[in-house]
Amino acid sequence: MPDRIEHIIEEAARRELSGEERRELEEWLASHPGERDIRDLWHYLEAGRIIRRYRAIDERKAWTKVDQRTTRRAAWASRVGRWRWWAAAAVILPVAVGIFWGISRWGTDAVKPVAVQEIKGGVTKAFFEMADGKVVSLEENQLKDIVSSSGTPLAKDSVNTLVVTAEKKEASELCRIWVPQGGEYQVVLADGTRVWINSESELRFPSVFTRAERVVELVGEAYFEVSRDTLHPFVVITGETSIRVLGTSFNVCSYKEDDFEQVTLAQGAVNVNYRSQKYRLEPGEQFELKKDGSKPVVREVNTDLYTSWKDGMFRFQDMPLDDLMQKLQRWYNIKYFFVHAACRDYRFTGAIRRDVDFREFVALMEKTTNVHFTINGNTVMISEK
Amino acid sequence: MEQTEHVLALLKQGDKRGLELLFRQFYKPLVMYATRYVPLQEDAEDIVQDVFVKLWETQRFELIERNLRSYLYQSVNNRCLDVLEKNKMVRVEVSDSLLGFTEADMPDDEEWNTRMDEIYAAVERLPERTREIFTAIVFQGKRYKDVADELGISVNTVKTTMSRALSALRNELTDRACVLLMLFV
Repeated sequence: MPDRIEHIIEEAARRELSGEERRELEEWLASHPGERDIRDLWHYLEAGRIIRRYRAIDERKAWTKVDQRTTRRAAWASRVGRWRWWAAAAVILPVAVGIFWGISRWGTDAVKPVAVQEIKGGVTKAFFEMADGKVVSLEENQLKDIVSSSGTPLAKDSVNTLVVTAEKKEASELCRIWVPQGGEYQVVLADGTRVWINSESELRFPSVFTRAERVVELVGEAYFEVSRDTLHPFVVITGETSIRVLGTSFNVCSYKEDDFEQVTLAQGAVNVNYRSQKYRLEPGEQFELKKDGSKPVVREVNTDLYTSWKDGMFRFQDMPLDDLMQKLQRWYNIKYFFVHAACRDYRFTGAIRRDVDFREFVALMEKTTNVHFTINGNTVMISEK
Repeated sequence: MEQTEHVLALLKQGDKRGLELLFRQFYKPLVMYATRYVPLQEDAEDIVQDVFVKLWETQRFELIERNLRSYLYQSVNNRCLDVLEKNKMVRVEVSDSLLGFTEADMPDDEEWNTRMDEIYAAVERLPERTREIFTAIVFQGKRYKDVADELGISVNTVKTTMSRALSALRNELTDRACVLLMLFV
């Protein structure tokens, strides 16, 4: 390979090639069809550069800007809208002062997110979908009544919690709550059962329970505090299993992309049904089903490790980094990639608040272990030190 | 429910979460798209942000209901051409590389991530040492010589390892990597 071509290839890793260089390289490759390695290498270098560029785009920072710009315009428009044009002369001064004040305030707001690039954990947010497909977004700290399209009151959205208020059995409809990556929400069902729904999870439930069994369907992770009603068992259906209870507290973790499904019992008693087999759990026990087809196991665990997320904590004990990253990914909205496979099996024990910035979390892990994290946008590369 | 319908429903209610969801899905791909016209990433980001602000201000969601995505790409396209015109800048390659492309070919954020994940996954399957060298050069843009020095091996060893990595990846991925390139180079 001529030096010139070698030089161009080396440069391709670091910068965009000029049209001239590109042409030169393409021509050389065209006349040397045997040099597949060079061609592939070039493609990968370009792909690597593009990926780096893509991942370096700071979407959060950009959204902060757009969010501020759209908020500002709306406030300004409604403020002006209130005045009639003939009154404008009289209010020019106060409005001008108002704008000046506003701008300087927005100015300082805008500086903050730029100064430190943070990777924040999830906030309380979710979406609620009614039987007719109408969607309402649920936000932190707001109050909102939710009414179905037939006019029946369905629910109240109060602080971080959706409370189902529907009463009429004949008007019961199937609803769905969906919590995106980086979110978390609580719902109180019509029977008083409280459910904490974790990131990237969804729960389907009827607005009023009308059948002999109270049946809900879960994808992802949720913690249930089932209100006691011995006449109407409560049933959670997941991908592989169904869980039957009378009144009790338990955690269900059933993400499609995880290679396991777990039911962890904190209080009371539950029956887990799997392929016509029944597994009865006592408090402190966990049912685990591996998706590789092996037989499910029931074992004793420290339930705190599996339920503390609902109280705003991450707890883990002797957890392989691979599993830990899987959990962090859902909460912090990140992607990760292991440079050294050995890191996957490093085990971690600890507890940390879920509202801690990801960088802080990582700094703690780096301090105590041999693992190094390189953060680029929201991609995390994990290697040995 | 389809993401698009969901977003439209929110937008029509004047719910800003709709704008945010749309933003998360399309911001990065749109910036990549815009950098094919305007060379500076900063300019590209400004252009795309303007498009989102304008979309929110005009509130013309009914009109664009049929295709939110092509509306976004078309708007970015127009804004880019405006900016180029205003600055009397024309990028020579633009006219060539744009031939035969429509915004329908542009993946959204999810597809981008899937494609990138495929590349990463294939790289992860390489033997440890090979992967380390390949990552340093391709994903971190390091020079052969620097990698050789860091690992205490010769430049020739780095070259042979790279060549081994490439042939291992060849059957699996080259086509996909090429697709990624065709769209964005």
